[in-house]
Amino acid sequence: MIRVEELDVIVNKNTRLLSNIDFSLDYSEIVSIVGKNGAGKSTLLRAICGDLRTAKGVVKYDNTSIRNLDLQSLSRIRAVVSQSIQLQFSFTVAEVVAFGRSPFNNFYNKNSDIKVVHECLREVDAYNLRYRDYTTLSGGEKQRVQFARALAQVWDAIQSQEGCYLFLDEPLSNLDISHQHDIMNILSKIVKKNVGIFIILHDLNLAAQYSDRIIILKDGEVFRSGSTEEIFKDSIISSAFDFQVKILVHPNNDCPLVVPG
Amino acid sequence: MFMSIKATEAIVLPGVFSNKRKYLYIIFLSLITALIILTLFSIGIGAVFIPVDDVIKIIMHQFLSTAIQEELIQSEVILIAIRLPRVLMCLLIGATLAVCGAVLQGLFRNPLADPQLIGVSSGAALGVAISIILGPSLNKLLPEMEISSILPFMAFFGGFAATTIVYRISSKHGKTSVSTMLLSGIAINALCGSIIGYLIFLADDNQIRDLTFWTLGSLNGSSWKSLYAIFPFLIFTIVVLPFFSSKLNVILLGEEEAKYLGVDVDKLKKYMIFLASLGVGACVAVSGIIGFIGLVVPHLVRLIIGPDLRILIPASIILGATLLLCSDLIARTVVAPTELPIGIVTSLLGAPFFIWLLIKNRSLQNYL
Repeated sequence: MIRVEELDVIVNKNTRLLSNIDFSLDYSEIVSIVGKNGAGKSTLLRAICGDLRTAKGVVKYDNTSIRNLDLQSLSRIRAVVSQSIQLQFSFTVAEVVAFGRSPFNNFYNKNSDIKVVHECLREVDAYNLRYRDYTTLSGGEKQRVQFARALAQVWDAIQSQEGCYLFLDEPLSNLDISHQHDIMNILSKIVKKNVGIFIILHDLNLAAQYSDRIIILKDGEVFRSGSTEEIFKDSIISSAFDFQVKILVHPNNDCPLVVPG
Repeated sequence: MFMSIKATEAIVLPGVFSNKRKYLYIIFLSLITALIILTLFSIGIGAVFIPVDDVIKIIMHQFLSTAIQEELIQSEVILIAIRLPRVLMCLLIGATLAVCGAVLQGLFRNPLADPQLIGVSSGAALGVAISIILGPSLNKLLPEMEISSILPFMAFFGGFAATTIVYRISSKHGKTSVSTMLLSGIAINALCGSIIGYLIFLADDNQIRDLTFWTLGSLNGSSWKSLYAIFPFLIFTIVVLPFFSSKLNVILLGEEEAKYLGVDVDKLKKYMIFLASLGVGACVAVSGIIGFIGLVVPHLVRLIIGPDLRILIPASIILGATLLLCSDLIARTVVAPTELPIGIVTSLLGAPFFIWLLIKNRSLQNYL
């Protein structure tokens, strides 16, 4: 379990990006982070992943402070998909996914690594792209390939159900509706294999349908957190986003549906 | 559109996956064969022509103590004392410049990076300008000091100092900003350039000529002595840098991603910049500024076998050695009995090739 206690992130001496964040992420749960632009969602992700210096507070992975974990051991228990990855050079899709195996091999990709790469590509419906030049892919295809890369990184832990974490920063922003649900279905499938999933989403309906827990950030603080039923109320969502919305109910699966209103 | 995608597939197919291995073997085998043949020819060509079979006999005689005919003794002296150190120097310098270029392009995630960007060359040039132009006045204080003997050290020290300053400016809290580094490289290059300009203003005609020739690069002074002096630095760079290629590959995804994949990016950057400035500094110290090898060779290799640094770096080492040997052969034969500065040859070959590359890539991007 990841625990975050009284976390503050301050940059440039006095710009406060996050204050007093208490948060936890357990194995086998999907936690969605939602909030307005600039609410501190990506900053929270980076702080938990160990990429940002925190001004105050602790981040603990299974009771070990992140400061005592080296990059190598962290890379074996958590994978991250960032918002924008700019790759200048013409690697093939398979090679990009194979980067996800780099924490496990020193120099060469073993045959077992290549097998994992192919399985991850099949999982995200990108196997047919495996020899394509990554730089020529569309935005959505790139996102699926990056997701496959992250899957490849924690694939062993997923298969052995040892426990690992996936951090996804708006992984669906460029995807069509069918691939959005595909990815969310993959997440719902692998979450059962002892995986903790932290996902930043802008589509509230997707968050409502697939999350175990939802956290709303506002101005660098936790505005509300709780289950879908607790969070999806007209008043809460409207004030979180400073925008009037109405919550309806999906006619087939009883999920909340957020519409402007 | 269709054509361009097919073409890209053909270029990127070679890589780490098993279906590409055969292709890679062929490429490496031909690169190595070309290097060996060119080396044997290059040793033989010069004022006294020595045929390849005699070259092989002489080398066998030297290193394996096999029998040799009387009439080859004279050729042996020329070959061992003059040609061999020069050819070896060429191979080592070409390999070092190419490997440093490949590593810096990877580190900066920019195909336009080359060793000159981090200030090595201009710092070294400043060191040389100081020793050539201020040398005579220093000589009055220390009469036994010879300018030619301190010149390589000044070049090495100047290059290393410039890189250190560039690195210091762009690092804070143990993190290094790539864009600040490139900008401070430009600033340091300009600063060194202006100081050199001032020194030229003070210099007499002979000194200006010496400095100009040094700046154009030359392997004319190669001897076993100078080879021994830089050998440890170059061989260290060439042998050690390829071991980092797998980590450098991950950096191509971005520094943040590389960290998430377990690579200590800041430490790696420090090591790479140190090693690159060590290697290039040593090269510049003995041969002057040889442009374009560090920029063009990795480009060329990337075009043939793709961007995977685990393959690109070793291939660059071989191709860099081959191309510099080729350039040196041209430099010392086209205007024989004198010779051209080698920097002129590498730039004359490298620049048009590079322009062609830019034009070609531009049209490819328009299609996609």
